[in-house]
Amino acid sequence: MTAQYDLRSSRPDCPSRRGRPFPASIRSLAVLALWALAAAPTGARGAELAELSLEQLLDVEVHGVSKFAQKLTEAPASVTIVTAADIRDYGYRTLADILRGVRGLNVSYDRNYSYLGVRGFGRTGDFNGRMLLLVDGHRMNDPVYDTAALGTEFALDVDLIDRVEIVRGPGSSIYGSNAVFGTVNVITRRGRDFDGAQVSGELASFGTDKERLTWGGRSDTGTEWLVSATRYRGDGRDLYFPEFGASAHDLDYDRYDNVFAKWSRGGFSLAGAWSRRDKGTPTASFNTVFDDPNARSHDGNAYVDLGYAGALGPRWEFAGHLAAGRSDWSGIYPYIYAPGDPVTLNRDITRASWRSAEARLVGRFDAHTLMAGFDYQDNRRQNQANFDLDPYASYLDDRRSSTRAGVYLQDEIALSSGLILNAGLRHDHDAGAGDALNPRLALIWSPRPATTLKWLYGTAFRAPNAYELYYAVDPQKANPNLSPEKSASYEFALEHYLRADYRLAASAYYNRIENLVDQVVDPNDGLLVFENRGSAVAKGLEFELERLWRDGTRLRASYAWQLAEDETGGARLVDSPRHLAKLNLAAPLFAPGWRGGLELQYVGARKTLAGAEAKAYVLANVTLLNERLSRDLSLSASVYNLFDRRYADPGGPELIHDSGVALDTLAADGRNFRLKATWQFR
Amino acid sequence: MTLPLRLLLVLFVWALPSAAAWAAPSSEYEVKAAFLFNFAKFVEWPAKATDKDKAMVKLCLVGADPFDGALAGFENRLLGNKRFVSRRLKLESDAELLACDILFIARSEQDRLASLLQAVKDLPILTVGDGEGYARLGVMINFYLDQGKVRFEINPHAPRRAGLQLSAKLMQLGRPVEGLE
Repeated sequence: MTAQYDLRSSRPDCPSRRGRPFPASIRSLAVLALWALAAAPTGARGAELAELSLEQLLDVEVHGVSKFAQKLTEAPASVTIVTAADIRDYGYRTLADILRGVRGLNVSYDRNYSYLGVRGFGRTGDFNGRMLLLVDGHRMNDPVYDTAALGTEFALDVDLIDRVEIVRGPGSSIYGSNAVFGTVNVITRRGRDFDGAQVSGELASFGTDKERLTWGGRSDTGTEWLVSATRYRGDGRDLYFPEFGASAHDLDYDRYDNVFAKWSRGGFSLAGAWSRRDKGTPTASFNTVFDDPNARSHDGNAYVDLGYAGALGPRWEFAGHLAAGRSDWSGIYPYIYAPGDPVTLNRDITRASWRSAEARLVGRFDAHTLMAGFDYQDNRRQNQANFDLDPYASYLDDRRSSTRAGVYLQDEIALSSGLILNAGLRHDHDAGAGDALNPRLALIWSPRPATTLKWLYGTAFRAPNAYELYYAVDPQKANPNLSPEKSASYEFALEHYLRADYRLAASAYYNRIENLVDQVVDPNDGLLVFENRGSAVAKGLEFELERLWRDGTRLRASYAWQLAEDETGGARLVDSPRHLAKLNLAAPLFAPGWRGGLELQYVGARKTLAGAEAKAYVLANVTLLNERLSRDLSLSASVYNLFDRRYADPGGPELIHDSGVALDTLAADGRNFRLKATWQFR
Repeated sequence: MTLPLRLLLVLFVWALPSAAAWAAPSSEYEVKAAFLFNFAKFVEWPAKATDKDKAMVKLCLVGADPFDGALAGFENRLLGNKRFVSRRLKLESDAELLACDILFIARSEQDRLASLLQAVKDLPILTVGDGEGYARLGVMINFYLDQGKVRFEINPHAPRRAGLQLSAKLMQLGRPVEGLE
């Protein structure tokens, strides 16, 4: 490994912290955390509800309708739920922020996209295609890159999220392609949750402001609606890259607009989303000219989804969806083709549009809950193009379309009291990648009401996407003969309730993925090409505790040990931390109405592409909020990276330049702030 | 590496239930019972309601009782110089309503809500509902749940007609609803 990949030696502003494992900031953080913990719950401990004032009563969390009420213990997977209350209390700004706080997950950011690692497996530079992202059941992964957008490019304002269900492990037996390492299901808030109009404004560091306008409600006749629009503008800052010895000026800007609407009446629902984001590219990715003001990318997404759900007789329920969507992506890449030439702007474009239909039947019989369904997607356009703007030169104009379809069946059998067998099987046919058959088997045993043990087995697959199959611009060539990636997962999970408000969870897993689509150099012609090459194994242990107090204090803490290795070389995977620890604490403070949220995240050292190390770090975020400053006004203030910890995420292969300069790690933001005010009009 | 682990360990130990176990988590109706008791502090009944026992604030329940004993803790507690008492009405005759100061209308009474409200229309009784849309239909205060917390909405027209004064504080904490008188 060369010195230039070594963070410590190449960053003059970041002195070595070797030998000082716990800087003062961390020690004081620990003291602060312990103080907050010791102080928080005592207020309510002895307090009888009768002694509480009206305001205090309004803050009491009612168990039985909170997340503990969900029958998570019976789900055939390890599931974590993040609620709207968490989003408020911890000041989450994006889906990526939400996922960072979840056990066994880590997220990297390369100043353009956010990359998710699940249980040690994540690949820098892919777009989260091995995770399925759903919004109210609508599939968000696009049919060119399989992108699951997690950052500012995600189509939905997180303020509109009621809860996010993070389901670890394979989901292909129900959802088909992409549900390899996990499924993230985002459920939006209802119109009645807003009951009128809401205006929200935010100011944040790096010249950022965000405005949101939402109107929602429910009529006496049962019609429910929600309409919301968001505008976000962030100037970013001039980022200094020691690898280039210079700063990228005004290239970290981030601007997005999105609109979300939904309507429902009786069993019918109609939802639609539209979003666009423009992001400057400060990293000179793909060998482009550093600090050129034109470098940027654009993401656009839109969909409509018509649904119906209703009972068919006393035993059967039906749910169906018809949907249409499109995604547009484009990037501007400034190149200097030969020394002395002027800058030529190259444009890369993706246009995808699709229609889909799905139907699901659920039948309940004595000991059986049967589920059967099918889905079909017609990818009408999966087009990719690449050309120079001036002088015009076209390098790629690839137009594709494809279809995929799947049928599945699942039976949940109550074998005896406290013993459930969940068995499912799905068959997929992809016009390009052929057939896939994916089973799931889960045995869920509750020897006592407070204890649940789960044995889980499942396989999953991901069909190669249009980019991997057909993208061919020098120095990359197409490989239309790719076959799907396949994975198999085994998990043993334990959940135990010490009390109704005190949950412990532990999990041990083994995941193996083979036929991995890797980009390699073809020795015959020296061109980059995607091939089914690698296989990798990830195994690990996770522990979590969660506790609720009657005054509304919530605590969740987790630790994950994970070992992910490339089977072919036996090497550790890139961007895969060995250790992850998370702590989330939210508690009422001072006076009624005030709450505080504290988030601590430890991410262990991660290997980079160049074989160096992105160092371990502890991150602290705090939020202070008052949800009822007056009847219609709520305020929140957040500080992210409270102790201004300098840390960096591993970069992807597109950040390695032919010149030898490589952004092997990308420094993350230091301490930054957000202020948010929300007004409610009824 | 060891610090986060140590922190987690400390937390774990701290968060373990102590020997003097905390009270069981609040159930929805424990909280609603506490609200009902509290509401009485913020309502002024008209002085001329002379036929009532002035030493008591009487809560009457109609419909399927969801409290499961949660009201027992408030029985005979003092509100100023009045005792808080509760009883379930069989409602064999509307005359049973006359002695009530607060009337709790359970979710089960959706179908006969209109006739109940008709019966108490001009009586100085604070009506508290526990069903979706009750406030719009003329119930003065109605409970709802929002993200795991108990909230209430207020129909401001209804108490006015009954001659009740709801304090500004109560009005401020409840969500106003436009609805029938």
